[in-house]
Amino acid sequence: MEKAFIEMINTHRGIIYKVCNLYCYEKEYQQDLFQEIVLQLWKAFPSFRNESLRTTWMYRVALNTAISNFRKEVKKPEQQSISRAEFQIPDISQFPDEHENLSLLKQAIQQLTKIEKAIIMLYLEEKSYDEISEITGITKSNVGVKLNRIKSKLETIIKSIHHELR
Amino acid sequence: MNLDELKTAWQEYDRKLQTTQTINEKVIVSMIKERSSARYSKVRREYILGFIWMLICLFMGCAVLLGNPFDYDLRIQYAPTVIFCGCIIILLAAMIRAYLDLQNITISHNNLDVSLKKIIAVYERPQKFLWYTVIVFLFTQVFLFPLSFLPHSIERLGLWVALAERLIPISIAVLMLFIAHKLGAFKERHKNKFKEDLSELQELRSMSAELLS
Repeated sequence: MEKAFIEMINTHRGIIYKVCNLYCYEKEYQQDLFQEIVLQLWKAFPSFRNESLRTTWMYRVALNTAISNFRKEVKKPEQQSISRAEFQIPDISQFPDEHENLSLLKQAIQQLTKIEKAIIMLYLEEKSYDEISEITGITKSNVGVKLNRIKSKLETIIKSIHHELR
Repeated sequence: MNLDELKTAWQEYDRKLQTTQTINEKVIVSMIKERSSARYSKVRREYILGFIWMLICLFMGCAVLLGNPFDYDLRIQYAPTVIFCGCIIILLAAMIRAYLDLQNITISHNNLDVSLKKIIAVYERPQKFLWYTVIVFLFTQVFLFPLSFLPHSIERLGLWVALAERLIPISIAVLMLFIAHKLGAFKERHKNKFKEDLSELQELRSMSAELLS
Protein backbone atom coordinates (compact mmCIF):
# COMPACT_ATOMS: atom_id res chain seq x y z
CA MET A 1 0.00 0.00 0.00
CA GLU A 2 2.86 2.33 0.85
CA LYS A 3 4.36 1.85 -2.61
CA ALA A 4 1.05 2.63 -4.30
CA PHE A 5 0.64 5.72 -2.14
CA ILE A 6 4.12 7.04 -2.89
CA GLU A 7 3.53 6.43 -6.58
CA MET A 8 0.25 8.35 -6.44
CA ILE A 9 1.85 11.28 -4.60
CA ASN A 10 4.64 11.47 -7.13
CA THR A 11 2.35 11.13 -10.14
CA HIS A 12 0.11 13.91 -8.94
CA ARG A 13 2.61 15.96 -6.95
CA GLY A 14 1.69 18.97 -9.10
CA ILE A 15 -1.75 19.14 -7.46
CA ILE A 16 -0.22 19.45 -3.99
CA TYR A 17 2.44 21.91 -5.15
CA LYS A 18 -0.20 24.13 -6.72
CA VAL A 19 -2.41 24.15 -3.64
CA CYS A 20 0.59 24.92 -1.42
CA ASN A 21 1.70 27.75 -3.69
CA LEU A 22 -1.80 29.17 -3.80
CA TYR A 23 -2.53 29.11 -0.08
CA CYS A 24 0.83 29.76 1.51
CA TYR A 25 3.38 32.34 0.46
CA GLU A 26 6.26 31.51 2.78
CA LYS A 27 8.44 28.49 2.06
CA GLU A 28 8.18 27.08 5.57
CA TYR A 29 4.39 27.29 5.58
CA GLN A 30 4.24 25.72 2.15
CA GLN A 31 6.30 22.79 3.36
CA ASP A 32 4.14 22.40 6.44
CA LEU A 33 1.00 22.47 4.37
CA PHE A 34 2.54 19.97 1.97
CA GLN A 35 3.24 17.60 4.86
CA GLU A 36 -0.25 18.08 6.25
CA ILE A 37 -1.85 17.31 2.89
CA VAL A 38 0.32 14.21 2.45
CA LEU A 39 -0.67 13.05 5.93
CA GLN A 40 -4.39 13.61 5.25
CA LEU A 41 -4.09 11.75 1.96
CA TRP A 42 -2.27 8.90 3.70
CA LYS A 43 -4.95 8.68 6.39
CA ALA A 44 -7.70 8.55 3.80
CA PHE A 45 -5.87 6.40 1.26
CA PRO A 46 -7.06 3.00 2.57
CA SER A 47 -10.69 4.06 2.28
CA PHE A 48 -10.38 5.57 -1.18
CA ARG A 49 -12.76 3.49 -3.26
CA ASN A 50 -12.25 4.88 -6.73
CA GLU A 51 -15.81 6.22 -6.61
CA SER A 52 -14.48 9.48 -7.92
CA LEU A 53 -11.45 10.26 -10.02
CA ARG A 54 -8.19 10.01 -8.13
CA THR A 55 -7.32 13.59 -9.03
CA THR A 56 -10.73 14.83 -7.89
CA TRP A 57 -10.25 13.07 -4.59
CA MET A 58 -6.76 14.53 -4.22
CA TYR A 59 -8.03 18.04 -4.97
CA ARG A 60 -10.75 17.58 -2.39
CA VAL A 61 -8.36 16.50 0.33
CA ALA A 62 -5.73 19.10 -0.56
CA LEU A 63 -8.18 22.00 -0.72
CA ASN A 64 -10.04 20.88 2.39
CA THR A 65 -6.77 20.74 4.26
CA ALA A 66 -5.57 24.08 2.97
CA ILE A 67 -8.84 25.86 3.64
CA SER A 68 -10.50 24.34 6.63
CA ASN A 69 -8.02 22.52 8.73
CA PHE A 70 -4.67 24.14 8.36
CA ARG A 71 -3.85 26.27 11.38
CA LYS A 72 -1.28 28.89 10.60
CA GLU A 73 0.02 29.34 14.09
CA VAL A 74 1.18 25.76 14.63
CA LYS A 75 4.16 26.33 12.44
CA LYS A 76 7.85 26.99 12.45
CA PRO A 77 9.46 24.32 14.58
CA GLU A 78 12.85 25.39 15.85
CA GLN A 79 14.75 22.65 14.11
CA GLN A 80 14.55 21.80 10.45
CA SER A 81 13.42 18.23 10.02
CA ILE A 82 14.99 15.81 7.55
CA SER A 83 12.07 15.97 5.19
CA ARG A 84 12.09 19.76 5.17
CA ALA A 85 15.72 19.88 4.28
CA GLU A 86 15.43 17.24 1.59
CA PHE A 87 12.60 18.58 -0.50
CA GLN A 88 11.64 21.95 -1.91
CA ILE A 89 8.31 22.99 -3.34
CA PRO A 90 8.87 24.44 -6.81
CA ASP A 91 7.71 28.03 -6.83
CA ILE A 92 6.11 29.79 -9.79
CA SER A 93 9.06 32.16 -9.98
CA GLN A 94 11.34 29.20 -10.60
CA PHE A 95 10.11 29.01 -14.18
CA PRO A 96 11.73 31.91 -16.00
CA ASP A 97 10.16 31.37 -19.47
CA GLU A 98 6.64 32.20 -18.38
CA HIS A 99 7.68 34.15 -15.35
CA GLU A 100 5.83 37.34 -16.19
CA ASN A 101 2.43 35.84 -16.96
CA LEU A 102 2.63 33.35 -14.14
CA SER A 103 3.69 35.83 -11.52
CA LEU A 104 0.94 38.18 -12.67
CA LEU A 105 -1.53 35.34 -12.35
CA LYS A 106 -0.18 34.43 -8.93
CA GLN A 107 -0.34 38.04 -7.81
CA ALA A 108 -3.94 38.32 -8.98
CA ILE A 109 -5.06 35.04 -7.44
CA GLN A 110 -3.49 36.02 -4.13
CA GLN A 111 -6.04 38.80 -3.85
CA LEU A 112 -8.96 36.38 -3.99
CA THR A 113 -10.58 34.80 -0.94
CA LYS A 114 -9.74 31.22 0.01
CA ILE A 115 -12.96 29.87 -1.48
CA GLU A 116 -12.53 31.91 -4.67
CA LYS A 117 -8.99 30.59 -5.02
CA ALA A 118 -10.25 27.02 -4.84
CA ILE A 119 -12.93 27.61 -7.45
CA ILE A 120 -10.71 29.50 -9.89
CA MET A 121 -7.98 26.90 -9.49
CA LEU A 122 -10.39 24.13 -10.41
CA TYR A 123 -11.60 26.23 -13.34
CA LEU A 124 -8.03 26.79 -14.55
CA GLU A 125 -7.49 23.04 -14.22
CA GLU A 126 -10.44 22.67 -16.63
CA LYS A 127 -12.52 20.73 -14.15
CA SER A 128 -16.17 20.33 -15.09
CA TYR A 129 -18.92 22.04 -13.11
CA ASP A 130 -19.85 18.62 -11.75
CA GLU A 131 -16.35 18.06 -10.39
CA ILE A 132 -16.13 21.57 -8.93
CA SER A 133 -19.49 21.00 -7.31
CA GLU A 134 -18.35 17.63 -5.94
CA ILE A 135 -15.16 19.07 -4.48
CA THR A 136 -16.59 22.24 -2.97
CA GLY A 137 -20.12 21.21 -2.10
CA ILE A 138 -21.64 24.12 -4.04
CA THR A 139 -24.56 23.31 -6.31
CA LYS A 140 -23.78 23.03 -10.02
CA SER A 141 -25.80 26.12 -10.89
CA ASN A 142 -24.12 28.12 -8.15
CA VAL A 143 -20.71 27.10 -9.49
CA GLY A 144 -21.49 28.92 -12.75
CA VAL A 145 -22.67 32.04 -10.95
CA LYS A 146 -19.65 32.08 -8.67
CA LEU A 147 -17.23 31.45 -11.50
CA ASN A 148 -18.58 34.39 -13.47
CA ARG A 149 -18.21 36.63 -10.45
CA ILE A 150 -14.66 35.42 -9.78
CA LYS A 151 -13.66 35.81 -13.43
CA SER A 152 -14.75 39.42 -13.53
CA LYS A 153 -13.08 40.07 -10.17
CA LEU A 154 -9.88 38.52 -11.49
CA GLU A 155 -10.03 40.61 -14.65
CA THR A 156 -10.45 43.76 -12.58
CA ILE A 157 -7.51 42.79 -10.37
CA ILE A 158 -5.30 42.06 -13.38
CA LYS A 159 -6.25 45.39 -14.95
CA SER A 160 -5.36 47.22 -11.76
CA ILE A 161 -2.03 45.37 -11.51
CA HIS A 162 -1.30 46.33 -15.13
CA HIS A 163 -2.26 49.90 -14.33
CA GLU A 164 0.08 49.95 -11.32
CA LEU A 165 2.93 48.53 -13.39
CA ARG A 166 2.67 51.29 -15.98
CA MET B 1 -3.93 39.38 -20.11
CA ASN B 2 -7.36 37.80 -20.61
CA LEU B 3 -8.79 34.66 -19.08
CA ASP B 4 -7.68 32.43 -21.95
CA GLU B 5 -4.14 33.63 -21.48
CA LEU B 6 -4.50 32.94 -17.76
CA LYS B 7 -5.54 29.40 -18.53
CA THR B 8 -2.60 28.93 -20.88
CA ALA B 9 -0.21 30.30 -18.27
CA TRP B 10 -1.68 28.00 -15.66
CA GLN B 11 -1.44 24.96 -17.92
CA GLU B 12 2.16 25.82 -18.68
CA TYR B 13 2.82 26.04 -14.95
CA ASP B 14 1.14 22.66 -14.47
CA ARG B 15 3.23 21.10 -17.25
CA LYS B 16 6.41 22.43 -15.74
CA LEU B 17 5.50 21.17 -12.29
CA GLN B 18 5.18 17.69 -13.73
CA THR B 19 8.72 17.92 -15.03
CA THR B 20 10.13 18.70 -11.58
CA GLN B 21 12.11 16.07 -9.76
CA THR B 22 10.05 13.33 -8.13
CA ILE B 23 9.97 13.31 -4.38
CA ASN B 24 12.23 10.80 -2.73
CA GLU B 25 10.37 7.79 -1.32
CA LYS B 26 12.06 8.13 2.06
CA VAL B 27 11.06 11.77 2.29
CA ILE B 28 7.38 10.93 1.82
CA VAL B 29 7.54 8.17 4.43
CA SER B 30 9.36 10.37 6.93
CA MET B 31 6.85 13.16 6.25
CA ILE B 32 3.94 10.93 7.22
CA LYS B 33 5.64 9.53 10.31
CA GLU B 34 6.99 12.86 11.47
CA ARG B 35 3.70 14.71 11.18
CA SER B 36 1.60 11.90 12.66
CA SER B 37 3.86 11.38 15.64
CA ALA B 38 4.30 15.11 16.31
CA ARG B 39 0.57 15.71 16.25
CA TYR B 40 -0.29 12.54 18.15
CA SER B 41 2.24 13.12 20.92
CA LYS B 42 1.21 16.75 21.40
CA VAL B 43 -2.50 15.97 21.63
CA ARG B 44 -1.82 12.88 23.72
CA ARG B 45 0.40 14.78 26.18
CA GLU B 46 -2.15 17.55 26.65
CA TYR B 47 -5.01 15.16 27.17
CA ILE B 48 -3.07 12.88 29.53
CA LEU B 49 -2.13 15.84 31.73
CA GLY B 50 -5.75 17.00 31.69
CA PHE B 51 -7.05 13.55 32.55
CA ILE B 52 -4.58 13.11 35.42
CA TRP B 53 -5.43 16.51 36.92
CA MET B 54 -9.14 15.86 36.68
CA LEU B 55 -8.87 12.37 38.12
CA ILE B 56 -6.95 13.72 41.10
CA CYS B 57 -9.66 16.35 41.65
CA LEU B 58 -12.37 13.74 41.29
CA PHE B 59 -10.59 11.43 43.71
CA MET B 60 -10.41 14.23 46.27
CA GLY B 61 -14.07 15.07 45.77
CA CYS B 62 -15.06 11.43 46.20
CA ALA B 63 -12.88 11.18 49.31
CA VAL B 64 -14.79 14.12 50.81
CA LEU B 65 -18.12 12.52 49.94
CA LEU B 66 -17.21 9.09 51.27
CA GLY B 67 -14.91 9.89 54.16
CA ASN B 68 -16.59 13.06 55.46
CA PRO B 69 -13.31 14.64 56.66
CA PHE B 70 -15.06 17.95 57.40
CA ASP B 71 -17.63 16.35 59.72
CA TYR B 72 -20.66 17.42 57.76
CA ASP B 73 -23.93 16.72 59.55
CA LEU B 74 -26.44 17.86 56.95
CA ARG B 75 -26.90 16.55 53.45
CA ILE B 76 -26.98 20.07 52.05
CA GLN B 77 -23.39 20.53 53.23
CA TYR B 78 -22.30 17.97 50.67
CA ALA B 79 -23.87 19.97 47.84
CA PRO B 80 -20.72 21.96 46.86
CA THR B 81 -18.65 18.77 46.71
CA VAL B 82 -21.35 17.02 44.69
CA ILE B 83 -21.45 19.97 42.26
CA PHE B 84 -17.63 19.96 42.20
CA CYS B 85 -17.57 16.25 41.31
CA GLY B 86 -20.36 16.78 38.78
CA CYS B 87 -18.40 19.55 37.07
CA ILE B 88 -15.27 17.39 36.98
CA ILE B 89 -17.22 14.49 35.48
CA ILE B 90 -18.78 16.82 32.90
CA LEU B 91 -15.37 18.27 32.02
CA LEU B 92 -13.89 14.78 31.81
CA ALA B 93 -16.71 13.64 29.52
CA ALA B 94 -16.30 16.78 27.39
CA MET B 95 -12.57 16.12 27.15
CA ILE B 96 -13.07 12.49 26.15
CA ARG B 97 -15.66 13.53 23.59
CA ALA B 98 -13.44 16.26 22.17
CA TYR B 99 -10.53 13.83 22.05
CA LEU B 100 -12.61 11.26 20.17
CA ASP B 101 -13.95 13.96 17.85
CA LEU B 102 -10.44 15.07 17.07
CA GLN B 103 -9.37 11.50 16.44
CA ASN B 104 -12.35 10.81 14.23
CA ILE B 105 -12.49 14.05 12.34
CA THR B 106 -11.70 13.28 8.77
CA ILE B 107 -11.82 15.87 6.10
CA SER B 108 -11.03 13.57 3.26
CA HIS B 109 -14.44 12.08 2.64
CA ASN B 110 -16.40 15.29 2.66
CA ASN B 111 -16.63 18.22 0.36
CA LEU B 112 -15.50 21.64 1.48
CA ASP B 113 -18.92 22.78 2.62
CA VAL B 114 -19.52 19.73 4.84
CA SER B 115 -15.97 19.86 6.24
CA LEU B 116 -16.32 23.51 7.21
CA LYS B 117 -19.63 22.86 8.96
CA LYS B 118 -18.20 19.89 10.86
CA ILE B 119 -15.19 21.83 12.03
CA ILE B 120 -17.35 24.80 13.06
CA ALA B 121 -19.51 22.43 15.12
CA VAL B 122 -16.43 20.96 16.82
CA TYR B 123 -15.18 24.47 17.61
CA GLU B 124 -18.47 25.81 18.91
CA ARG B 125 -19.68 23.06 21.17
CA PRO B 126 -16.91 22.84 23.78
CA GLN B 127 -16.44 26.61 24.02
CA LYS B 128 -19.95 27.35 25.28
CA PHE B 129 -20.28 24.19 27.27
CA LEU B 130 -16.95 24.53 29.05
CA TRP B 131 -17.60 28.18 29.76
CA TYR B 132 -20.82 27.42 31.69
CA THR B 133 -19.27 24.51 33.52
CA VAL B 134 -16.24 26.54 34.57
CA ILE B 135 -18.50 29.33 35.86
CA VAL B 136 -20.50 26.85 37.96
CA PHE B 137 -17.25 25.23 39.12
CA LEU B 138 -15.69 28.52 40.23
CA PHE B 139 -18.88 29.75 41.89
CA THR B 140 -19.14 26.51 43.86
CA GLN B 141 -15.51 26.60 44.96
CA VAL B 142 -15.41 30.26 45.84
CA PHE B 143 -18.81 30.72 47.51
CA LEU B 144 -20.58 27.46 48.20
CA PHE B 145 -17.68 25.41 49.54
CA PRO B 146 -16.79 27.92 52.32
CA LEU B 147 -20.50 28.19 53.12
CA SER B 148 -20.75 24.43 53.61
CA PHE B 149 -19.00 24.97 56.97
CA LEU B 150 -21.61 27.50 58.04
CA PRO B 151 -23.70 25.15 60.25
CA HIS B 152 -20.67 24.34 62.42
CA SER B 153 -19.69 27.98 62.60
CA ILE B 154 -23.23 28.97 63.63
CA GLU B 155 -23.12 26.39 66.42
CA ARG B 156 -19.87 27.84 67.67
CA LEU B 157 -20.26 31.55 66.99
CA GLY B 158 -23.89 32.40 66.36
CA LEU B 159 -25.44 33.44 63.03
CA TRP B 160 -23.97 36.88 62.35
CA VAL B 161 -20.44 36.21 63.54
CA ALA B 162 -20.44 32.91 61.67
CA LEU B 163 -21.53 34.67 58.48
CA ALA B 164 -18.78 37.23 58.96
CA GLU B 165 -16.28 34.46 59.65
CA ARG B 166 -17.28 32.62 56.48
CA LEU B 167 -16.68 35.80 54.53
CA ILE B 168 -12.95 35.45 55.26
CA PRO B 169 -12.28 32.33 53.11
CA ILE B 170 -14.66 33.66 50.46
CA SER B 171 -12.77 36.95 50.34
CA ILE B 172 -9.44 35.11 50.22
CA ALA B 173 -10.67 32.95 47.33
CA VAL B 174 -11.99 35.99 45.46
CA LEU B 175 -8.75 37.86 46.12
CA MET B 176 -6.65 34.92 44.91
CA LEU B 177 -8.72 34.66 41.76
CA PHE B 178 -8.37 38.38 41.22
CA ILE B 179 -4.58 38.29 41.74
CA ALA B 180 -4.27 35.29 39.44
CA HIS B 181 -6.33 37.15 36.86
CA LYS B 182 -4.21 40.29 37.21
CA LEU B 183 -1.00 38.29 36.98
CA GLY B 184 -2.26 36.90 33.73
CA ALA B 185 -2.87 33.33 34.83
CA PHE B 186 -6.02 33.18 32.71
CA LYS B 187 -5.27 36.02 30.37
CA GLU B 188 -1.93 35.47 28.67
CA ARG B 189 -2.14 31.87 27.66
CA HIS B 190 -5.80 31.14 27.50
CA LYS B 191 -7.22 34.45 26.36
CA ASN B 192 -4.90 34.61 23.38
CA LYS B 193 -5.67 31.04 22.52
CA PHE B 194 -9.37 31.75 22.93
CA LYS B 195 -9.08 34.82 20.70
CA GLU B 196 -7.26 32.83 18.06
CA ASP B 197 -9.93 30.14 18.21
CA LEU B 198 -12.65 32.75 17.94
CA SER B 199 -11.07 34.47 14.97
CA GLU B 200 -10.55 31.11 13.33
CA LEU B 201 -14.18 30.27 13.98
CA GLN B 202 -15.24 33.59 12.46
CA GLU B 203 -13.11 32.88 9.41
CA LEU B 204 -14.61 29.42 9.03
CA ARG B 205 -18.11 30.86 9.37
CA SER B 206 -17.49 33.52 6.74
CA MET B 207 -16.07 30.90 4.39
CA SER B 208 -19.07 28.68 4.96
CA ALA B 209 -21.37 31.65 4.27
CA GLU B 210 -19.37 32.46 1.17
CA LEU B 211 -20.02 28.98 -0.18
CA LEU B 212 -23.75 29.43 0.34
CA SER B 213 -24.03 32.93 -1.09
